Amino acid sequence: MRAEDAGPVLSLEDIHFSYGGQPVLEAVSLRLERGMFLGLIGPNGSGKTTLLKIALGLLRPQQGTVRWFGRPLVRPGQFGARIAYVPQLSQAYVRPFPITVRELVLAGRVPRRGLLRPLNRADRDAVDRALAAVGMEDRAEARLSDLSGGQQQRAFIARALAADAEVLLLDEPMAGIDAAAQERFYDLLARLQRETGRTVMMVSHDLAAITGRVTHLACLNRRLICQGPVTDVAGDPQALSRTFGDLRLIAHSHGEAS
Amino acid sequence: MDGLLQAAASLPGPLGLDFMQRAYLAGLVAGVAAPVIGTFLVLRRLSLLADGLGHAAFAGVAGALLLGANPVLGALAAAVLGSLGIERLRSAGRAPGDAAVAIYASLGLGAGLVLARLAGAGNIDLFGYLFGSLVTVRPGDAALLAAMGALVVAGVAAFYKELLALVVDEETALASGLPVAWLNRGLAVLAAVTVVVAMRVVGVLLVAALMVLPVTAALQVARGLGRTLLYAAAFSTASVLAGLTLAYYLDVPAGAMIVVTCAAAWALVSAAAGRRAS
Repeated sequence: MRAEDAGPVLSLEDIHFSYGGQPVLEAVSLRLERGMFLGLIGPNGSGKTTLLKIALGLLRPQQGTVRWFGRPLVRPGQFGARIAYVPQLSQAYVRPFPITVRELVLAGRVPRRGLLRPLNRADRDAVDRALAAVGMEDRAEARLSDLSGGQQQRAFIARALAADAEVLLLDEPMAGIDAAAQERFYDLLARLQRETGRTVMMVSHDLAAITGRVTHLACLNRRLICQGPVTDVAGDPQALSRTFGDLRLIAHSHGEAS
Repeated sequence: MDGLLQAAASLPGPLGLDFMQRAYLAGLVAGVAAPVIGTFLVLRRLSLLADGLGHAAFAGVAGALLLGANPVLGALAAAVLGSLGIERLRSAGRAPGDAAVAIYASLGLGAGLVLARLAGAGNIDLFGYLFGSLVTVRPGDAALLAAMGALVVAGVAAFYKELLALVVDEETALASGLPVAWLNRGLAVLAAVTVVVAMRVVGVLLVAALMVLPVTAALQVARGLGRTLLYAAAFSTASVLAGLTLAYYLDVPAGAMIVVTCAAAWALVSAAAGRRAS
């Protein structure tokens, strides 16, 4: 065990961020401890995705520091293949987009190999395992642009799994995925976290779906409203209503959407 | 029609002629290199980059004529500088990708015409660079073009897995530690080299045809990045060979004929893909 493994995997300290003078995050401090499965929840527009991008170095906060494994983050990708990321699904591809599911997942292995080093048998095996884990083996040779949104999302999850990283950051990964596949994916994440000690942070606006799955919750609505073990936070209606506004409304609209 | 056949029969085959051999060689080099780089441009919505770099290359040609330097090297220098300038504007977010291209494209053509006039270059010289001049490829040029084509293909082969990750999703590639800025610059420079190779074949104004048309044809039938590259190169070399041969027999400009055969190949593939899908 390295010395750095004693502290938090990720710590965000006093993060401030605004888009063109409009504050999106104010004084947000958050710790992700090793082996945690943290759900970062908040309504749409609460700054969850922005916070994730700041953690990855894709956006620079106006104030505050980001530390990974005890070391300050100075550029995106500094910790290479130790961190895997599932971005929010984007449909910005040219159509038809020729990249196949297998190629996408293989791209998840690229950061593990140096420049000019070819991908090898171990990489191809990891791709097969990741495809099986999300139930996409039979669509491996399909082009991304021939898939439904939910299938695309599963392919992107498989890419992150194939990277075999210590930390998984996921931005609304369940969007567009059917209930059975969601169930299977939550089980897989829980297994990764419990059995292999992986650290997982998942952004979600869906409190009901995430509560039974994560070990910890953090509630964000421009400010960090609360964070702690899931039983504490989920049992604190005041914190939740400060995050989401009227909770009954949220529960109601969730019921309609599903 | 009879007259044409008669004329064709009375000519020796084009393959027997030195200048046509060099034209075929240059055409094949461009036919492979252009769609390989073109695939990455099209998938990243930078199709017009080829056009912009072609115009920048034109300024380099005119500048070289003014200085008495080798026009191909002048074109290469201007296209490389242009590619890095466009990439800088794009990645710094100071101009959208397409606007950055438009800035360099108009600047290249404008500056090129000014320099050409100052150099006292005749319209005939310029015409060759604007629309291609395959049949005037000299032995030294052929070797230079082959070396540049080899550089492009070797560059893509060496960084294939990183380019795959980049084309899939630039943001995740960056977050996972890939040298995205260098890959983008490298791709831009290889695009500049490709444009100079293709300039000899179809001219700066028609470069985009060779870099984009075969790729859009391949996208309709190919599954996977590797096959897209392969099919695009196949469509493109077939179009170049057919276009060059037709140009020889019909006595029309080779570059223009090649663009027409590229477009015909695209139309054929589209029709075939449409039929298969329905």
